[in-house]
Amino acid sequence: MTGAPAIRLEGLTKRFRGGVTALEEVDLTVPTGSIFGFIGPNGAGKTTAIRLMLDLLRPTSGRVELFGENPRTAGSGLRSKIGYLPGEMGLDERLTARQTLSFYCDLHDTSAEKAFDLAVRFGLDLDRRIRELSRGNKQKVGIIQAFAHDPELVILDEPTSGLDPILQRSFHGLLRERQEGGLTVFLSSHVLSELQQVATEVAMIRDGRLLAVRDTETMRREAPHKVMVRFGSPPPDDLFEGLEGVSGIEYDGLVTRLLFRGEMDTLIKTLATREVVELHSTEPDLEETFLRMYGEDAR
Amino acid sequence: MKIARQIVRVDGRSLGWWSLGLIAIALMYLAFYPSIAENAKVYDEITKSLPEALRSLTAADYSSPKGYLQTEFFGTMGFIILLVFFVGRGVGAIAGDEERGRSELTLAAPVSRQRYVLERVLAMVLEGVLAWALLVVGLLVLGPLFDLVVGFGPLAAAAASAVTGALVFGLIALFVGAATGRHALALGVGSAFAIAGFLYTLLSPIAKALESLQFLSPCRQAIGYAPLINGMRWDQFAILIGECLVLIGLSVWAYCRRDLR
Repeated sequence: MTGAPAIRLEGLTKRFRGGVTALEEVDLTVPTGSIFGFIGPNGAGKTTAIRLMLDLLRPTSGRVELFGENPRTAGSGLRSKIGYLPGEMGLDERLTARQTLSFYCDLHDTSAEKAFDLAVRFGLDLDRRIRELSRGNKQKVGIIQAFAHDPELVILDEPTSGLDPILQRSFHGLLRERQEGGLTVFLSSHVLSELQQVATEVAMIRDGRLLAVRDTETMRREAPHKVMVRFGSPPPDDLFEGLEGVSGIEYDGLVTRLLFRGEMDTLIKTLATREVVELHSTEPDLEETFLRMYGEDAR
Repeated sequence: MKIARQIVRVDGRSLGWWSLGLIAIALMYLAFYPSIAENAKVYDEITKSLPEALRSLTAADYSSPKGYLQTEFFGTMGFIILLVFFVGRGVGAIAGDEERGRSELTLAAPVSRQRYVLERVLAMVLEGVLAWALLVVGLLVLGPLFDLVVGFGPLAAAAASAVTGALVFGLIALFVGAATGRHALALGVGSAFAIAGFLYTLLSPIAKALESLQFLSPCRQAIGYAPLINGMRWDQFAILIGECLVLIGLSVWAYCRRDLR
């Protein structure tokens, strides 16, 4: 089915026995070829949604479609297009990383050579047993098996947990590289700052409900920057008068702190009328913004 | 077959050691045989002098190598070892791996739930059969050293029916695991059935009330008629195979329709 989105959830609801509602009427479309972030606090329902996509759980109501097909009935054709990294991964402790990767590649009817190449790239020692690997190295095994069969869609549950910053970066590099080749990436995280580095779109979930889906670029533009300026001499009180997008001004002698939302150019030109000793503009904290913009009123 | 092959390959070494242990236990019994054979008459007389009820409880027949081996090994210790083996494998196959999160990646790959259950069962059967095939070979080769000569036919019959009988209990454990994903529950139910089944077969000859239900017990169908002495009873064997197939079918059905944990 060409043209069908990589993932489509419609009215997806999951109630567990005992009456816990993990997901409530979630509608979500992940376009093919995107890197889609799924953010929410722990216990928000991210893993439940992911396990529903893989037919490990069955929906109470609503629908899951991957490339237009129901994962429950689509069979192995659909499965072989998908790579999956679980949040809690159980690997056979007795096997070496090489044996583990060979087994999963074998299940996907694919040569393990690509997996071994990725292992070199991520600096994974293939001949160590899983039991001897650190959490980060186990995570590498999981990531590699998710990509080794050249899937069209990878679904990754908290992929960077346990990875150090350097590895995170090379993992993000892999995502972008594969995205250029047409891969769709769906990844969850409870840290938005991580998603904002790679994701093109981000959906936020909390208490089983989808709060918002936003384009990361727009969000970054709309979100206020935290600006700190140190002037050479005390600025006049009305310096920012009439300047749009300025809020929360705090004067502290020569130092002024404010929140700015809008075209940075207009702010710089205003500042430039004075002597500026030091200027800091902090990237907007999307997480804070997200929570403030959509989080509270959605409750 | 990829999953079953992987399991047997990974288990291979420990399974090998386990088989050697099994043969060692059998050897221990073999080692006693010469002295028992010398006194066979005495044992026989003692047995005969016992009251009817007790006689059937001991069910001892030491007058021949076959009788000795059936009574002392295939009907008791060996069968218990098999029960422990299969219940353990049945519990681990689905519920055990599920609780450790090991089945998730396999099932996210192009592997249907049905295929997963069938391959797990296949692996379990293969391992049990391999271990007991080694045991039969061991007994054939080592038996004569202890004046215990039993032909291949009776040994194979005894091993096959014991393996199939114990497999029924392993599949009960597997079914509970497939239906619930709960390791402890599968272990509890599987062992309870195994212990009850075994004690029942042991005790029912002396309790008339139990006798009428004898035909229901897989243990009875497997070891009750002493296949080593009397040869294979294919009707009993067919019932055991039928029980296995029903349990496998139920396991597939239950596993395909539920949420994984």
